[in-house]
Amino acid sequence: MDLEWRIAVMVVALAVALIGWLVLQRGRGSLTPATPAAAGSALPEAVALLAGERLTLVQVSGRHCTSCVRGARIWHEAIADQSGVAFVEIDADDHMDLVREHGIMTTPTTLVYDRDGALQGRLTGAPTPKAARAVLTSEQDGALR
Amino acid sequence: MSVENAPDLTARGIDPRGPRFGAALTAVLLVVAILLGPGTGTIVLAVVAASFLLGAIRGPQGTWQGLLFAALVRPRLAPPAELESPEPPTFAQVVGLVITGLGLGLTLLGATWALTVFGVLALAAAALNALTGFCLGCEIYLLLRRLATART
Repeated sequence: MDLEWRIAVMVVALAVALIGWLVLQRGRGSLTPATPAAAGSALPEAVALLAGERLTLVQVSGRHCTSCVRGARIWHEAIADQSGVAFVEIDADDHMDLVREHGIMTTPTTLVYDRDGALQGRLTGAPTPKAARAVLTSEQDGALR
Repeated sequence: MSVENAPDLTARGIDPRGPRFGAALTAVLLVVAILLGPGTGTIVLAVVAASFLLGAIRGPQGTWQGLLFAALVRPRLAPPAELESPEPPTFAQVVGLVITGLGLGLTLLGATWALTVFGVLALAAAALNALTGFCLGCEIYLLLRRLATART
């Protein structure tokens, strides 16, 4: 290939990668309400014992995942002054059934369950601190119910 | 459950900015390889593939990019907000090795287009990683795992 072509291929590939990345980021880091089909599905048995009185956050993490560590830190910070909120991190490898059931494509994905252990929504990617607090307060206002 | 595993993964963590710095150097080398084209560019691609091999075996902190970061860059930075497990960037190094290895092999076999095509693939991933902290493992590991378990 000629030099001009190689440069063109390079520029196009970088542009495609950047656009692809921007598309991936859309809707990430903030709460998406559960679809009608998934809404209300029960807390996975494995974490039932660890459920919070008010809210249970289940972060599905992977061993090959950098943002999972950041996500867990942000959730821990956000719930530090909250009562009745439980944060549980589970390894996707050990819970592939859950990953399949919820169509989880990427780690971290955090599933948000209400006081009754019913699924309310999910948050893909590490939350922003603001989004993490919004999840906690929207539940208090009843917006999640 | 990884509730118990999480702390010891972070305990032996590395500075997450190291792999990003390394990815930036890799991206520059890949641009050079693609611009030089088959011949000299092939040698540069071989250097990149060899670096990925080091990273795949020893982790990104064990590559020359990682050593440069530790020696020259890290001392000038504030401590990171958190450490990361070396596993995600090591996984990315393996993916980089596969891509650049394929490109190198095909180029050496005479398929000169392979240098550009595979070089550009690796460049896109490395550039995204350097610029945005894009985490390849987060995006594709579950997909690969789901595909693998779907077949069995």
